[in-house]
Amino acid sequence: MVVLELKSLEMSYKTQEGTVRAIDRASLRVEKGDTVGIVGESGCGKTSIGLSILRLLPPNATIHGGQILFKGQDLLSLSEKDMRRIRWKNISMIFQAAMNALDPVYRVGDQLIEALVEHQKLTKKQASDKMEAMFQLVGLDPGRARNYPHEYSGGMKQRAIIAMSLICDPDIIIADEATTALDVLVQDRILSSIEKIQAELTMTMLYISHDIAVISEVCNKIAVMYAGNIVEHGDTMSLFKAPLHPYTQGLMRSFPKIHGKPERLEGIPGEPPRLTDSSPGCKFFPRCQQSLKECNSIRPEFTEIEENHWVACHAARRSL
Amino acid sequence: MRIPTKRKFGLAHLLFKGISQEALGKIGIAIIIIFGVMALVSPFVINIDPDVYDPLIGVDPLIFSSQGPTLTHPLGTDHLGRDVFSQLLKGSQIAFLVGITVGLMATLIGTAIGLISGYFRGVTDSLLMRVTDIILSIPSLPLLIMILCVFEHRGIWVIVMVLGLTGWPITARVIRSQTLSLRERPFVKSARVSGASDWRIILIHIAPNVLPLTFLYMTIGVTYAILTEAGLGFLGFSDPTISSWGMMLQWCFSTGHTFKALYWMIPPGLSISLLALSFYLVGYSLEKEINPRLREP
Amino acid sequence: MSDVIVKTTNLTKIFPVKKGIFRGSKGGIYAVHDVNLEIPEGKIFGLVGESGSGKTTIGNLLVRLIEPTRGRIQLNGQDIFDLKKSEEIHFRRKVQMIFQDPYESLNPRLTVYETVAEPLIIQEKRSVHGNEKDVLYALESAGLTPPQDFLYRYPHELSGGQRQRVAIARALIIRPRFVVADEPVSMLDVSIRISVLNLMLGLKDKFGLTYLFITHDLSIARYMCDWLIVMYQGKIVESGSTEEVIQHPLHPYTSALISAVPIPDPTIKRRRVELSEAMEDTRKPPLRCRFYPKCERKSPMCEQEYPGFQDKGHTHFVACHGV
Repeated sequence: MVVLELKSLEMSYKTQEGTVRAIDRASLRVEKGDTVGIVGESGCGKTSIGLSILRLLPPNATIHGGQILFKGQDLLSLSEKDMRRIRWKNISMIFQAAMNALDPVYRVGDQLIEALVEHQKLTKKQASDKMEAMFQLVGLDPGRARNYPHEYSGGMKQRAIIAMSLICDPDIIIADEATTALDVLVQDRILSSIEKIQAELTMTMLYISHDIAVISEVCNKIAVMYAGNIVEHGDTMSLFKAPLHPYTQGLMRSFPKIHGKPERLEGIPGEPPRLTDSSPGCKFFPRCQQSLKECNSIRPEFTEIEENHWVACHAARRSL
Repeated sequence: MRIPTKRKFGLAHLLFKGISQEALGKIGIAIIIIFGVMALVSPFVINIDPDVYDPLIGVDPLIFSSQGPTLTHPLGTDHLGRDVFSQLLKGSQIAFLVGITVGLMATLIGTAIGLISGYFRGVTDSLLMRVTDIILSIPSLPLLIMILCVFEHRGIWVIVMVLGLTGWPITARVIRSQTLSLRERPFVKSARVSGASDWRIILIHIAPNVLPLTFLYMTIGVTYAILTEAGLGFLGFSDPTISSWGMMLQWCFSTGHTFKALYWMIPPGLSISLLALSFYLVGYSLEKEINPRLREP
Repeated sequence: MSDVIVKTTNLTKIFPVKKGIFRGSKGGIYAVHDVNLEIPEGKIFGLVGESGSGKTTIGNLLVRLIEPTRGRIQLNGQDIFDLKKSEEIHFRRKVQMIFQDPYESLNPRLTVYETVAEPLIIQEKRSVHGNEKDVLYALESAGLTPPQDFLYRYPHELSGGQRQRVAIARALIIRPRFVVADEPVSMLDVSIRISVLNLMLGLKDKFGLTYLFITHDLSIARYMCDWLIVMYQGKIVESGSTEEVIQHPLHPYTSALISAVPIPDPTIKRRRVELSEAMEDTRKPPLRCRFYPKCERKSPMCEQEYPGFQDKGHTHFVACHGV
């Protein structure tokens, strides 16, 4: 069952320097039980996708094309009131600095209990039990529920936020850079919690990050974004075995490895794209080493090249 | 090899951008320009016939009391037959002089103290901040009145000096706070690692980054000076040899013409409010441009 | 064997914790404790650890941004904190730093030209004008081409990677011998990191530099460094040639760090590390091993005394009783 589907989504920001096409005809499908990763660098539009789905965009942003189908219903056609009912209950989110979303004057456990009583209509006793179960699920010691947020470490706060996001048994969780600001050992714990959630609750997730290693561990499907476009989309295994888009291939060459033979990497030449640039062809053209004549003038279509493997690239299509 | 020329990114550019983007800022500038023109035009009006139009001693030979507006006296005359319009123009000059002088003095002193205090910290900082606290706790208006009474000298320059020397604490506090945070920024640390002296860091790295804030507080200082001088004048403590707007109100009030000679009462009162407001509006419209700029231009 | 260019002896930094009504110091945080380093010329020394390990503090100490509480730092045999005013500026010429945040390490009100020329102006008492040639050469060496285009730009007009290159140009314009790089690429986009890292490697050979490369990212440390020093809560726990430490970690903390690095290969299933959450209080001096609360291999001896360094073959040292 398809929980979430983006169809040719288009979104732009109006800024002082001009109109920025943050999302340029992005298409994506998330089925129940999937963890779909969106990987890309700063400014590629991945965070904008999360915000667009939740309709939490700033006032200078407009969605001017495409659909966001949540369980078949187009979220873009809903009123703010209806959207509010869906937010957090059906679609919940974990952001990067989310640890600061905990209210500093209330005990952590109480914040969870209050939310449970409010939204799931449980009694205090039921909520308390559920809260303890959720703590255990994310790897927190239930004995620490009586502490205040400032007594928690960064990693613990992040896990508390993850627990909060599960309160209403959402259909899908959107996580945006959930482990980015954390040390690697702390990150490992968070990834552990996420794994538990995936296994025990068969949770559906949209995991947004710039870290391809984390994404490869957490996600079974990946969408690669560049300059507002989804340039490649497929399941994790095939993407890693045979990446088709030159940007994906370049990304794979940009991560130094801790295991295996030490080697010199090339990375990707050039600079990240200027988002106000509105050239007609492929946005990756200036940095691409496999470009063809038409890449500069014709936008490559996002097509299904192999089964469940989509690419937007002229060169990739030619070679297959 | 052609070396490109430097582009504008200075304070002027910042100010221009800030003001031109905000409607209120444009209104503020417009009002300031109007009063500025008035100030400049003042001597020319007086020269039409100094015997009649001098704000203090020029008296219309045909008029012996406060009269309403006529062709020769667009805003009428005061109780001695002096031209109100001429007084108003002269008052513009005074207002700008007092406002800007005090503004500059208070801002320069405050910025210097704020920079030194915030950068050197330690004992210097503690000392300077205690002095700041003391000055801050002295109410300037009663102090001024006291000084003026004790020395029996109602000079406009005494007023300017006292206001200038007591109006800097808030600027000092704000600039100090800004300096404290700036000195920890990596680009300052980098300068230190390169061997920059403390003064080089203060003048080249920190000061330019607090300058926009300084300018903002100067507009507040100008407003404060104009209003305080006007208040002093109204209370009768300002310089009686100068027809500042405050003194005009005092003359109107003490000769019992309040509400009876609206052509005399309203112009100075309105001018005080408008000019003070205009500087405030400029500051307000700059703030939007300045605040995010201070964090990340 | 290369000469040792930087040497620290019993380097200790305790940050005072202000307590009491009169704000007198009552103890402090042992950010760095008894650190002994010997960095040979021409090598890239990696200082690896998580937040709170003290690695950034060591970087700040080595460039004299802060003063040590105890211990000595020597540059080419000379104690760097025992210098006369006139000698201090010579020191500043030999040691430079590259900072983590490309968005904060450049003065927003100065052009690229002014920023990069500044070390020259300070060190050689030059005037502001007339330094174009040196600045252009530095910019070009840092990979900003054509350099003329960047001369009069302001930081906000540049991307993160470009700003970091400007910072590198600034650091190298006065030809230092020793450069401390504090997380130089962690705030850059992934696709830019490799080019900046490769640039740093190239510049090391071109200008004969020695680096202290500070990072929390073990993969990058492995990519860049000849020698790794692993730090935990102010103490060095393991030290050795990069491949030795990575392939055969001896200290349990090092093993944990290596195991926690996510692997970008979906065919490999990595085991979760699951270290205890217990933390040592760094306000107490290290009378027992700092890693004790988290260690799975602990023995009674670990609680009684802090482990000294054991030489495990001249290219590998570890501070652990359990080895």
